[in-house]
Amino acid sequence: MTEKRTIPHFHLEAERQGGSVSLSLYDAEAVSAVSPEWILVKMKGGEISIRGERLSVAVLENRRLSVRGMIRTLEVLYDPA
Amino acid sequence: MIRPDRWILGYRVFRVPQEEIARAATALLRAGLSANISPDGRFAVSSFRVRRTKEALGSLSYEISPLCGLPGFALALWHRPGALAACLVLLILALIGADRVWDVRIERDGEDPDFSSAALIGELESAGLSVGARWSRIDRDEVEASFLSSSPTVGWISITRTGTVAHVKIRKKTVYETEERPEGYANILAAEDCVIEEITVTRGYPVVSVGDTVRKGDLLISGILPAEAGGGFCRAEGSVLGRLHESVQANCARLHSEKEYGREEYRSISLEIFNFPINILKNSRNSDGNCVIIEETRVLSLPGGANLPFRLSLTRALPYRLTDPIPYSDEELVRIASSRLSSEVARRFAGADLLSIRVYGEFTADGYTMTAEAGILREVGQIAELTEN
Repeated sequence: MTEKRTIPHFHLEAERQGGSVSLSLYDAEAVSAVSPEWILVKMKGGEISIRGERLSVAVLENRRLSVRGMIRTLEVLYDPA
Repeated sequence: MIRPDRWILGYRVFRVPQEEIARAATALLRAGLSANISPDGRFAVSSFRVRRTKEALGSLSYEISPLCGLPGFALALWHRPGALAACLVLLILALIGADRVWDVRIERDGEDPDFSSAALIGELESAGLSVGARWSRIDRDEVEASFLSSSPTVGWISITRTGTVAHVKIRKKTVYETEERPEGYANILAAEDCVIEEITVTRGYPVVSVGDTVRKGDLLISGILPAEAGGGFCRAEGSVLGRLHESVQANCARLHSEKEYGREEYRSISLEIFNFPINILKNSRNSDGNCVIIEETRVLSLPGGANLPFRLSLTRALPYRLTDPIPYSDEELVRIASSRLSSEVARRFAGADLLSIRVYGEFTADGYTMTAEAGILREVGQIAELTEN
């Protein structure tokens, strides 16, 4: 079963690929930190923090970023500015 | 996984330190370049985007691999004549192999013993399609036409090629038989001594009725019509069921011999490649006494089920000698005789209705005899042609 949620000011899409999840982040501005356990991405509306296992990042066209691996938690950090 | 276009056009692998992955990803993101960065910091870039990637990474520390993919492979081979020659030979062998039929697979409706794969493959070989034949010399339309004209059982055929495998779809010929009425005049006579149980006359004049006892050769339905039925001759037709008694006997001798097998030995081994047999071993030594000859053909198959055009044919001889006569026990005698009798009863009374059966047995000087006396209902009429006399 899939569940769709809307987060204001962010455009994220998740897709299940086998035993892991591929998370697409649109309009990414920069990648602040990358490690197999934690990825922090700066977006226009704030920051996205992704925690999990065996995480990897793929840079795609049109400022799209794809995070793959066993994603455990996703935190959306709004930037009030 | 490397994309196919990168394999064909060539690519280079960049490697950035793990602590620099975030900066490298940001740089690529801002430059509008795409890359799938592995956890250890490696990513592949098409050869025609290497310069832009280098500009985007700027002052970041990174390593870059030599050219990979097909162009890189070709470049590496260019400096190694031996490897280049080996690749060319492999390519030529692959091209030659691709032009051969490596397997013939037949798809047909159901299993029909008169329509076996072995027979069909033999007919296909006669028509020009066989394992080892060259695809470039096979005209499939011609093979289909030749096969259809020569095969008495096949009504439709379609040959398709999938790689080096010939898929043959076959449908059996539907024969609409027209019933031919035999000509001439005939009577129907009793084939056995019996009591008439049922008589159905399609043509002719019934001479007997239900309950009559007849002997073998008696007239049942006459082909000579009486005056009240219009007179004249005809071919008598009909069905006459008679009740009759038959007995079946099965014997089993008390003494029997058994086969004692010796050590088997290879008589011949031959390897067949594309229908060309190569004899590896031929042993023509005569064995003493009796022996069983076992012929075995081994076909080499690929995991997908395709057969390679190599066959190994083995012929083995298994010598045996007959032991001195051994007696059966009473229980064994009865069991064997019973088994023989039941199969004989099934054979003899096939097509007849069994009304009653009585079975008994007795030990004789030689062994055991079992008898079945049965009352059966069977078609007893047989045609007898009328002659001018």
